[in-house]
Amino acid sequence: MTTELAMNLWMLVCSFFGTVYGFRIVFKKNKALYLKMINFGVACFMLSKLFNVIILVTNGELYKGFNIGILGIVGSFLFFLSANYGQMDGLVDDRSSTFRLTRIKALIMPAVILIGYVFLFLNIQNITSRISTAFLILFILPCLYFNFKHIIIYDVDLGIIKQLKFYNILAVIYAFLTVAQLYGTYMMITPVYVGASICSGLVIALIMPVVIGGAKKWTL
Amino acid sequence: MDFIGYVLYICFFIPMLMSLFVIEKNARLVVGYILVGATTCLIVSEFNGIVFSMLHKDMFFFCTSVSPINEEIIKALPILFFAYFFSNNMTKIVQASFAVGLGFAILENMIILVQNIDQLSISWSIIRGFGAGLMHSVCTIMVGIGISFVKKKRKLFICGTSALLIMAITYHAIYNAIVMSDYKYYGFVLPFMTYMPILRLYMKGKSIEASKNL
Repeated sequence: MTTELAMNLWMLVCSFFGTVYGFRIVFKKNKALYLKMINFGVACFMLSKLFNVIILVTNGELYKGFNIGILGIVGSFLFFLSANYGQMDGLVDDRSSTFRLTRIKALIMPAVILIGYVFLFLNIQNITSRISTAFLILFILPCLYFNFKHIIIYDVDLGIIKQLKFYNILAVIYAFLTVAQLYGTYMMITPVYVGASICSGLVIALIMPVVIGGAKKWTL
Repeated sequence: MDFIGYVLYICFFIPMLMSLFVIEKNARLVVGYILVGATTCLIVSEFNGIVFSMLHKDMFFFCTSVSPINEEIIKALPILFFAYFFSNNMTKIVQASFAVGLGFAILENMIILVQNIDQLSISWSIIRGFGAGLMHSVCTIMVGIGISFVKKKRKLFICGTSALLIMAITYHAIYNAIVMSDYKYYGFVLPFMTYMPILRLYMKGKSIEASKNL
């Protein structure tokens, strides 16, 4: 078994746990749309890893450059973005000048990722790999912005976002780990790839229990 | 696409179209969208043919990385159109979504049947029926159910719909990867395993809707 297959299997198992746990609670008890979208994000990550595992088993290697596995990761970030931007942001940020500084501060994390990515981009030789990683980063940045913003924003509205702080921290870590995986893959640094993959699996497995735990406190 | 594809489409389309004038209003939505699905299949097969000849990639790469994108985007358009202009009702959106997937799968199965006439068997038809038949419907239902949720908020619509579309594309690519490998007989497992919870969820949603209407 290759390292790549082992890591994809590990992430598949972790995300499967997160997805099933989430579906059992979120959909069975018809919880908030916010939770459903995060659950779909974890499920999308799981599908992406399932695709990778099947391709690795049947084809021997993943396509360098664009493959659907990357698209699945994009999907997971889009779901997290939909949840935080579409559902939560309007509740915590009324677009007034009070939060102007917070909005500026929230740009720090996307800027860090962007700088890190530019360095990677310059070191990738294959043009399709450049395009597909840039496409992924394009969706990581806004997602990271809202997740980080919801960590640092002053919560005036009944502590809704405060209860989700740990989830938002996990989402930020997940974004950084995804970029670390890209570094490991394209710069051929196996320990970075392995470490980032193991941590990604753990983070993805934790997301649903953490966000459900946070949402339970909403009614208190 | 071969000439035979058009022949099959016409043979399927005309009687179904004629039935639209006779059947009741509720059934008309489903039959109408089955026809839309079949038409979508025809458009997609033409489009896939053009893209395949332009890309110069092998069939496995094309079926696992390119055709799912084309197919899911084109299949989602009629559902988006229906959800945006005609109905907010989740039951109707899900029915229309399922019908589009069904129509698509029926015509696709007929075309593949004709192309592989020498290798047909009962097991082949069962696998195709449960596999491709359910897979296309599950993909469009995924988008349909999601649209009925995210449509409620304008901020969610573009972001959420794109995310759902990507999810359907990934799911479709997984199915294609299995059926194009040596393990093709396991192809029906994935659609079947996902269809069951979706069906349960749909029935639950319907019973909640019915109890609200009482």
